[in-house]
Parts: sequence; C-alpha cells; structure tokens
Amino acid sequence: MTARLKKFESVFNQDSQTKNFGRSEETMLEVSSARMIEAAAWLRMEETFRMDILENMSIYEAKGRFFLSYFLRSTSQDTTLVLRTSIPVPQDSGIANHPSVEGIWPHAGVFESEQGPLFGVTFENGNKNPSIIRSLWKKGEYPLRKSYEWTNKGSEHDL
Amino acid sequence: MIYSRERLHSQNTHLSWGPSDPLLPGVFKLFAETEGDLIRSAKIETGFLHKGLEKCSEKRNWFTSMVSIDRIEPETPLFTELAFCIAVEEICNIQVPRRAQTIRLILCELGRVGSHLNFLSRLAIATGFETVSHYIFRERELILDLFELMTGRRFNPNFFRFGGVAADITEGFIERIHETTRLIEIRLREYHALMIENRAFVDRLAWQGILSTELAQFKGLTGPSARASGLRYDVRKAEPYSGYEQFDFRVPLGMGSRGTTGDGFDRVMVRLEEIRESLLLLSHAVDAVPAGDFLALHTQFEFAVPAGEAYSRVESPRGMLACHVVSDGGFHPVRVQWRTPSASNIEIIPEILRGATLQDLPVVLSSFNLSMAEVDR
Repeated sequence: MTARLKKFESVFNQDSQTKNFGRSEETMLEVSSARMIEAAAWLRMEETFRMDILENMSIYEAKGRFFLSYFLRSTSQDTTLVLRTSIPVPQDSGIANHPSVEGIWPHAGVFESEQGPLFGVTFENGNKNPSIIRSLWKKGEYPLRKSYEWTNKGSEHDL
Repeated sequence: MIYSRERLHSQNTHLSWGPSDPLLPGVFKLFAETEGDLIRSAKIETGFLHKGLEKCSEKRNWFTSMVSIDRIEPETPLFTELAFCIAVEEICNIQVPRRAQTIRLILCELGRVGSHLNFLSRLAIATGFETVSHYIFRERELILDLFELMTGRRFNPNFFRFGGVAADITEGFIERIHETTRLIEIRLREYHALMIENRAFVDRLAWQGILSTELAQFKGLTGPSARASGLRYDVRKAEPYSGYEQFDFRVPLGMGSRGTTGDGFDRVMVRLEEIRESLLLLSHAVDAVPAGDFLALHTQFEFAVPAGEAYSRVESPRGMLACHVVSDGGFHPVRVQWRTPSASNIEIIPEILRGATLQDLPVVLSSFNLSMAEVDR
C-alpha cells in the first residue's frame, strides 16, 4: 500500500476500507456514509491526492442498499480512484437522503440531479438542475430501484 | 460590448425556446432573460426525451443489452458498444484478440470522422453556409457506406461482441478505406477554402462563446470542446484502450488562431484537425491489422457474467464516454450506468450564453456539438 493510502487510512481508520475496484488495479476507498463528505473533502484538498475532477457518479442497488460510487481523477497527480459509500434502501417507497458533494465538486449536480429522481435519493444541499425527469413518474415510483414494477403499459405522458 | 440599459432604451424580457425548436440543437428548453438583444442570464431544462435505456439494459440479457446500448447515441453507436464490451470483458477476464482490437479501432475512428463531418454540416447550416453542408453530407455518406460494407448496417450496427467483433474484415474494405481517406483529405481542403478562409464564417465564430480553460475544468468538460479551451485530456492518450497505444497520433488543442483560445472558431478548428488525425490513424491502422481471430468466444443468449463490476472509459467524438457495469453473476446486468459527454457539456451553456447576443445563439449552441440523445438516455 502506498504512503498516501496509509495516510488516508490513518485519518479514516475505523470508517474506511481500501480495496481494488473490480479486477482492475484502480483503488477503491469505501467510507461509511456518516464520514463520506469529510472523506470527499479530504481527498479534494489533501496534497498527495488532489482529486480535483469528479468524472462520474453512479448508484446501484444490491442487497437492500444503494451503493454510491464517485469516480475521481487528479489532474496534478495523474491518478484515478473510486470513492464508495452505501445507504439503506428506504422501505415503502420512501426517499433516501444523502449529502450532496456539489460543494466539493461543482460538477456533481449533473449526476445527482439525473440519478437522484430515478432512484428516489435526495441529495441534501445540492443545487438542483432543472430536469423534467422527476415528473415523468407517479409519486413513489422510482424506475431504477429493483422494486419498480416493469410493465408494458405506457406512462400517462404517452400520446 | 455590453451597452447600458439607458443607452439601449430597453427593459428586461423573458424568452423561452423549446423543447422542440429549430434554433436549438436538440430537444430541451432554453430560458433567457434578455436586455435588448443581449442575454443577461440563461437556464436550460432537459429530460424531455428520456428513454430509460439504462433500465432497459437491466431487463435484457447481456447479449441483447447491446441493442438498447446502440440507441444511447445513434450517431456514434460504436463508442457505446465499445465501452460496454470493455467493461464486460474486464469482469469476465476475456482477452480480446489483437485483430479484433484493431478492427474496433478502425470502426471507431471512422465513426469519429463521420460525427465531426456531421458537426461541420450542422454548423454550416447555423452559420448560413447551407451549400457547404450538402457537400459535407456527401462525404458522410461514404463513411456510412463503409459501415454498411463492414457491419451490414448504416446505423445501429450492433457489431461489437464480448471478446471481439461479429465478423472479420469484408473483402475490399481496406482498399475502400484508403480511397475514402484520400478523398476526404482532398475535400477537407475544399471545406477549408469555403469556410475557414471565408471572412463571413470566421466573423460568426471568432470571439463567440469563449470558454476559458478554468471554466472548462471547473464544469468537467471533456472532448474537442474542452481541448479547444486548452485542456489536454484525451482518453486515447491518457488511458489507451483497444490498441491506441500502438499508433502515433496528435491531440489538437485550441490555439486562438483567429480570435482567442476557447472561442467558437477554435472548437471548429480542433474538430477539423481531429478529422485529419483520424484519417492518418486510419490509413496506418488498416495496413497494420494483425492476423488471427476476430472473436475470442461465441456468446449465446444464456451467457452469464461473473459477479463483479468494472468501469470503462473511451474517447467518443464528443468527449469522455464512461460505463459502469455491475453483475451479480446472473444472465442480466444489475446496473449499466453511463457518463455521456453531452450530459456534462450541456451544463456550460447557461454560463456561455451570458453576455451573448440573440443572433449568436444558434451559432454558439452548434459550436458545442451537443447530442440530446446522450443527455436524455
């Protein structure tokens, strides 16, 4: 493990885990949702990381949890890594809440405002980009959740 | 120059265009607060053509997912196919034969040339050079003919497979590529004379829609629009895939040759230079296709991907296209998530339009080459 990853683990010792992302050699840092924003800000500011670009943000649902993956890139260090956290899927079509990282990476709003309505995740303190995506489904319906019932019927917006 | 309200004798006006409007490069809504013909502020609203293609991938099996993936960006479908294949091949640990990698590279570079020609054609219409746009479509047809010869289809080829490509190189394909690249190289000189050396065209684009390097980086822009502002990032160079590391090619950057770095004219010049680089790359690649298999394994409908995940990046004609694939070991993907360049690049539009005039609106919007199919996937 490199010195910089050891430094990360020393700061987020109890609440983090370092792995390889899939089969690749890319590093994945798993952090508890409670310390996610702190870890994101640390990775953005820390001299040895300087992860200044949020390349992508992806959510997927598995085993009753939403896994949020932030794909980061550093232009100064020429490195990439994945920051991951997970939150439980709310019962009864409830909304999940997670803090927005838009204050750390201003570009995050693009991904949060797109995937948030489709999964029923509200990103707190995020600057919502206008999109009609959230109005395309009935209240309590989130198409990218595994509980969403897939039918052949068109939506009320279909002509 | 921005004149004072008193001098203009005008009041603020709220205008809106779309979702379907010939002024816009696709289906979205544009709201602008104007003072006279100056745009004071602008905002956009997207999502009108949301197709649910990410959900469609989850409902299909791995093999047939490719059908919906082709529709993410119908103009350049091979890039989405490639990104998906690379991710699945990483999860399955499939080694793609070098011959298949080179065939993929050739088809993608053809797609890049075709997409950039389409951009030039659309921009020619926006700037009032409609005649040129017809000439450019003539060359775009040659690219589509090559796709038809190789894949059997002009659009939505569904040609890449996990572990390679669906078929080997068609007889006569390499000779046709040499002919086509030579012809397009000659025609590019004609377009240069018709557009780039025409003062009317230059005046419409130089100093228009200036995007600074800092703003491009701040907003996460990628692709030719970011490189026109001086951001030197190209996935083909930064993280080579599909054999790009074997070929020498240049990544053109904005030079501010007629106006300033990052203006509309630079965005055109970068794409023109990229066409030239792709033509050179194509002529080298077709002569260097290695012998061997074109497919590592034959996948069937009951193909299952081991549990795991992968993330792939490719350089599409509009910028970085990334795909996050998650599998639980079953016959269907758990998640196929896309990061498309236009979805990120469109966020710059409100910033760029602030201070522009209404008559420059179509030209500035066209110079970013946005694809609403990518945004509303």
